Amino acid sequence: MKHTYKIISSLTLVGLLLFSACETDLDINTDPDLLAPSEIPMSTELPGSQTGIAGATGSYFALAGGFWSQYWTQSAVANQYKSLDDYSITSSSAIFEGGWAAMYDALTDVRNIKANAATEENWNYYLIATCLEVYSSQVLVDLYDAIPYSEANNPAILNPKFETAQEVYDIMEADLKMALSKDLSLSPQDNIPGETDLIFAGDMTDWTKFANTLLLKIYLRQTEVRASVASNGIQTLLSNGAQFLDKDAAITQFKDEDSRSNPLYESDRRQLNVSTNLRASHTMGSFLQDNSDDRLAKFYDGTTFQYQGDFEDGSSTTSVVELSPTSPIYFISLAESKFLQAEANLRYAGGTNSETLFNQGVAAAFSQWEATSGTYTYPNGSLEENLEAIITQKWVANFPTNGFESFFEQNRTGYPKVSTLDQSDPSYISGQLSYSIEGKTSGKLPRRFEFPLNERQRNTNTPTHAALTKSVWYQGN
Amino acid sequence: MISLLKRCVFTHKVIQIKLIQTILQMKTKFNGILTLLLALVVQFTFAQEKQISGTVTDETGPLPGVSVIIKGTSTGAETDFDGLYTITAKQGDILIFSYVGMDTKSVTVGSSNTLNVTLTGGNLLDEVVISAFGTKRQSRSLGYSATKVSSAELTEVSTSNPLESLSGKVAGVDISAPAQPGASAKVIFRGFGSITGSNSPLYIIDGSPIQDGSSSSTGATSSFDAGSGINDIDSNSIESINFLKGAAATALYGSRGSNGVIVITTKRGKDKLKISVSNSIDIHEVARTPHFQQSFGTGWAGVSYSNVVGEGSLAASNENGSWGPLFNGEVRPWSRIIDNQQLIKPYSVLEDNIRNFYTIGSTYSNSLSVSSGNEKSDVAFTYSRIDSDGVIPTDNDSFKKNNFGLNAGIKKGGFSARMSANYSHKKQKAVATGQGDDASFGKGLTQELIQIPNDVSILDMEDQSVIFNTPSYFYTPYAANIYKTLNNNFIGIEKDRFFGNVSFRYEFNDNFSTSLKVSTDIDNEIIKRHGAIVEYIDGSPQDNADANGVVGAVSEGKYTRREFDTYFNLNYNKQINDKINVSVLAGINFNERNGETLYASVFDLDLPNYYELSNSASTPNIFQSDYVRRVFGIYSQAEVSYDNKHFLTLTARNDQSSTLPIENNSYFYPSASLASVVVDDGSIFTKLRAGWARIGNDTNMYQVFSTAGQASNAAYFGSIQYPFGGVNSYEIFGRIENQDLGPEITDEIEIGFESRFLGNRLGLDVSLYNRKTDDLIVNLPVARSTGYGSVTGNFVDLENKGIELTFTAKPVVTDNFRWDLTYTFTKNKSKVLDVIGEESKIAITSAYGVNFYAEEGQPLGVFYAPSPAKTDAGQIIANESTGYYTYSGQEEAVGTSQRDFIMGLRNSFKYKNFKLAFSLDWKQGGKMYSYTKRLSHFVGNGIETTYNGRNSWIIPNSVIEDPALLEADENYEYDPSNPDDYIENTSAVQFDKVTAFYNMTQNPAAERTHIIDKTFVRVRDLSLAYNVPSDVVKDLGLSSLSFSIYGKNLFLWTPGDNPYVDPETTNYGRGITSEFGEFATNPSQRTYGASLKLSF
Repeated sequence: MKHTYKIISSLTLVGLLLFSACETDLDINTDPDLLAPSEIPMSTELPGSQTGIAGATGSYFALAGGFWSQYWTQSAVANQYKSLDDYSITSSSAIFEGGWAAMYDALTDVRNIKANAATEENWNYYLIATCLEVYSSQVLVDLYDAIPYSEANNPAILNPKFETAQEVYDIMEADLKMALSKDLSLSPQDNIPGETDLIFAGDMTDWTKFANTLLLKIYLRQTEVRASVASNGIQTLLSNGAQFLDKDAAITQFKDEDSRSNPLYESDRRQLNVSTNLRASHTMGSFLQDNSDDRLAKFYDGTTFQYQGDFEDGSSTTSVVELSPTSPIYFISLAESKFLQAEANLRYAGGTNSETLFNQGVAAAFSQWEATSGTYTYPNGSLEENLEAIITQKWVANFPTNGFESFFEQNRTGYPKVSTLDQSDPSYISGQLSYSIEGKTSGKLPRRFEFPLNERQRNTNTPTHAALTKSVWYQGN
Repeated sequence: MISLLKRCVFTHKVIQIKLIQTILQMKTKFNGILTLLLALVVQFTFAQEKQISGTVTDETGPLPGVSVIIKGTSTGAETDFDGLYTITAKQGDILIFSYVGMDTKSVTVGSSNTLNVTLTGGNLLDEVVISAFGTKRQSRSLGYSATKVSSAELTEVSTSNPLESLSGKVAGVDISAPAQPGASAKVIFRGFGSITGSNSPLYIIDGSPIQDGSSSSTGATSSFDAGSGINDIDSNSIESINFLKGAAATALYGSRGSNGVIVITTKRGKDKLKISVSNSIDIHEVARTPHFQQSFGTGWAGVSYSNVVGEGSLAASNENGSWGPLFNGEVRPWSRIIDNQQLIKPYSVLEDNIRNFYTIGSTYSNSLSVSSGNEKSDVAFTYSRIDSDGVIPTDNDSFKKNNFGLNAGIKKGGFSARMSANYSHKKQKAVATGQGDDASFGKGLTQELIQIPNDVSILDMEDQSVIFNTPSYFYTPYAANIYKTLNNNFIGIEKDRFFGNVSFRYEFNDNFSTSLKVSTDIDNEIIKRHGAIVEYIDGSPQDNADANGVVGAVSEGKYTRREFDTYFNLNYNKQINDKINVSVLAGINFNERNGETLYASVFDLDLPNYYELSNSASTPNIFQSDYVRRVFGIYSQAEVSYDNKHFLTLTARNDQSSTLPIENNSYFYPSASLASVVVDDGSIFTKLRAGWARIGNDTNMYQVFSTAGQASNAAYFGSIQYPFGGVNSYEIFGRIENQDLGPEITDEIEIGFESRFLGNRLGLDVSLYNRKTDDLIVNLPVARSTGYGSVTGNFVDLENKGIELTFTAKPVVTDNFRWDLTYTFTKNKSKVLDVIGEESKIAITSAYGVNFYAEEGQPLGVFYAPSPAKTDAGQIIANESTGYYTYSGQEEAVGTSQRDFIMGLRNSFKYKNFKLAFSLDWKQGGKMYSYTKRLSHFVGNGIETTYNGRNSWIIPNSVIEDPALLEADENYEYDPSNPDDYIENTSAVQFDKVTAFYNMTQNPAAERTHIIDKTFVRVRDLSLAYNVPSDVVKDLGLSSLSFSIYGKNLFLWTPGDNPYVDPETTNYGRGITSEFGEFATNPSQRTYGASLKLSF
């Protein structure tokens, strides 16, 4: 029996040793390779949120915008974007679903920065985050016409309510005013935005100008639907001597490297297996040609244009759109700022400075391309003639990645005009939009993005489906 | 064919030489080891013993493979083909003769040196199976279904993966064989039980769990199959495999047993020194290649010319498809024009164009095992080597593996110690499947193969000295030269694997014992990958056509996975009286798994043909992942038997898992099962069984908390990665925190019976089960406006019900001839009972608009696809201008991946020394997605694309929206419920638009046609073995010698719906996503082989 005890005790000992040698702590369920969301400093969360917005606008929205503003048309010898060019795109498309997802992904970080900044009373970051929040929300609401805003990006609310465009516009205005009302000098001095701010490197004067310009843009978008809101808002801005952007608000750090280049180039050229889908549209091409605009040679690799949407019968030799991996992504370009001011001046300040601002806008647009001026003069005619000139120049200036902005402005102002003639008709006026030859919507141009299918499936508050061609709020009636 | 034959003959010579070399090498290599082992054995040899020999027979004659063991020892022998055995024993020893399906017989050794034994009747139920923690239990005592596969069945045909030949042979288990050398096998017990987690069973080797992890890359883009953990086990070292199916069988194994348990026992040394050698040579050819249409050749939209830059609008077609005119046999020029030269060929079909691309592959397997044992100690050592090259030209689909296995034990008094150890080293190369990626590693092989017009010879593209075959002058900018693609893409996998355990056991007395087992499993894998740069010469046709080059890429990943498992058990066994026996087990178990991954890649290489991570000016991508998880379990089992006829087994286990929220990480699960032998009169045997069990399951690691990490922004096909612009950034990731996450709870009820009639000539084993899993953990996708992508939680309830049946028969049993038949039938019906939230569907995976869901009220895995708009009356609404379908953006259900049934039939015929066996495998029903079909349609190679001879047609039973209504009111909204809104469709799909009808960008509603029937019938294997008669064998100085020839995957039948792929191939891994289908995956192969086995 003694022997037995010896063995029992030695076995128990061995067992105990083996077990105690094992770590038995079970509180090990945090991923050692990742951070908790609360551990990211604002300065480190900022650049990813900025490029997040640029990724969405610079690829999904830029592609759709470029087709619908008729910068480009689908190649006759490739297939990639046919559904954008013939308007058969559906709510499950990667453009509608992906753009929405990418924007809200970026907004999670933007709103996290904003919340942290509010807690710390860091009004610098608060203003930057508000600018980014409003900028991206305006793009979203102008595309989709209704979006979750006040309940969005909150993990506690799985079915955020949608707010109408009008509601969103009112909240955006209030949010911007709130951020602008803060005294930046009271911000902590030991945590100031710097080089990780990819847009202005932490220059708060620039951000204040950006916020003012954004406010101006918000008011201007309402000229048709709520003229009084537009006019009161802009007059207040002007009379307060608000400073507007006098430089590009852009991300310029792109380089010719995988996953670090301009998102439109990255998506359409580097990652796609056919890089010649985007061809010169007759709409933009003929306009530049007729106006001896030397940006023509920068936009396309030749002067062979294709009628918009003529991909079934078009030629393989149509000129291809030039894209560069290092092109900036503009949030608001200097040219756009000038054209916005020109329109504000035209509508609400007697138009005395409109011509100057128009010319400054055109010059800024040309310098983006290191081109020399074309033959554009300010008409100094009726409001509509002047407006057409401004919006048309903005249309050209938004090439290539801000076509969605021109699409919004066309919705609002009707410029560029929509041609009643085929582009092949000798009487066709260059630069006028033309219904896609392969169009599948019975002559109606697209006016909006449809709500993403996956949002419809997962968010019970998604409004009922609205067709691509249904007019949007800011179009007025 | 002539060239193939030549190749065969040539290979044979190589094989012979290799074989001899290998044997010679092995002999010298192992001389040292042998001496060592012999020395060990000699120590334990005793002088009083004598040689006993004899013949074991049944009613039909000599019985080979009978196990002869000296009672109370592990000393044993096995009868040879003539039923002969020899064993060293002492007078008074009791010899136990046991054989599958026969009554076990005990005979005491007397003074005679000859002991002839006849085994009778009997049944499978006296077979011993290994259940939890290495406890041996009689099959008759089990209250649940378990199937045992013996070593002989496993190695009937040579295998590189122990499970590959078992498809259709185990009822209730769906096994898909690996398609390529070294690829993984998919094993699913009683239906899929988990959506996000693993569905792989738990593998227990010699009593300890091992990992079945995989470093494969799955999915639609540039995926590959690197095999899985189970591939590192050597089939030759396996003694038996037990498939424990029911929850009652697996409850004691803990969470991981919820997908079924495969218990593998390796060979142990028995009796005198035995050396066995087995060699086999397999020849592989490609099995299924897509069947293509044979009427139309190169071209697009009905014409055979294209507009080619520099050659004009009537140049030879540069299209990647067979949308040209009808074949007419005329010899005509094609290809690009280079220096005023062009190739010519007849415009006619090349029937076996794709098949001819593949070559003959081969596998050499060699194995040597040495074993010996007596009552004090035993040792078995196995070394195996596999050297395989698949059917794809080059050795890019090759697989080499060396395995060393050792199983040894010593015993003194009540104390015994045992060690089992396995080491394997593998080198594998794989060919990427799925879609290629020009921005990194380049094209995918199968994807490029499908795009070759069926009149353009693939074989002729090999010679790179022909300028027309070089990338810059290739005939099409839309696809790449297959040989170039093959040579440009390298995936090399190298792995070191060690697993094993040591155990100690002490028997205090006849009733009470204790055991401790400690195991380790270490898996180190390196995967190196590169893709070559493809650039086009300035001004060359490809350059002019703006064809995309490939930027080139290099990656290297290191994966380490470890598992440590320890258990400590107390066992108590007591015969209360004549009738009642009680045995109780209690124990604790500690399990830890941890590991690291480090992966780096660079894209856009600078120097060609130089594949190092330094070879790029661009920022490297680095990925790092460390993990550790632990489970701490306590458990107990009690078994009460009455009269050796009625058996009640109760188990209980409580686990604490680190993967669940700390406050809620403990879960308890009990089980009860009952087995009752109701008839056992020698000719009829019937056992009833019933069981109820609960199994709790934890989840993957790190699913509870929200996380943040390095930022990466989506940009449609591209992305923006950090570091960027000289700064770094972190962002909040897409999973919402869920502190309420709890364990998945599975409840299963199983009833069944086993019956044998006519003295074991007929047998039937039936199980019915109903398995219900509550609170299944899934990643529930959330609305993206929340800023997040998903939340992990207990959101789904799932049910699996089924029947599994095994029928065995011996229709003919005579002295010289014997026919054995085994039939298995399995039917599993799954149903998603509840999906939490408003949405009743959860997406599992998708491709090109085809979604695969878990949907409430449906079997797990329902396909939804874009579908034509229809009126409420069911008529298709066509598009007036194109004649195509209209697509409203709505998706429609098009079936489920669930099979109707699976059945297997195995026949074996033994005539004198010959044995012929074959297995049929029939898996009926279920749908799968086939990208091969989609692409074949797009490029006009698909058979269905010749519908109506490609002449214009009108979609049958279709209408169009009445245009008059829109003319009258430009805002008119058509209403599918109003028949007056539609008029008969007279718009035909025109000849030149037929091509685009099969282009899903333009006709998205046709995506649904890519979901096909995955039914198949297959001749899984066929073998003919010849055992050399024992007198001849003895003259040769051997103890056994056998030859066999065999074939694997010899014949595959699929319904007309699927002329494209072997439905068991997939590049979506082994989980529920693998049921989705295939995305231009590599083909499976057919094998012809021969083997030689000898022992002395």
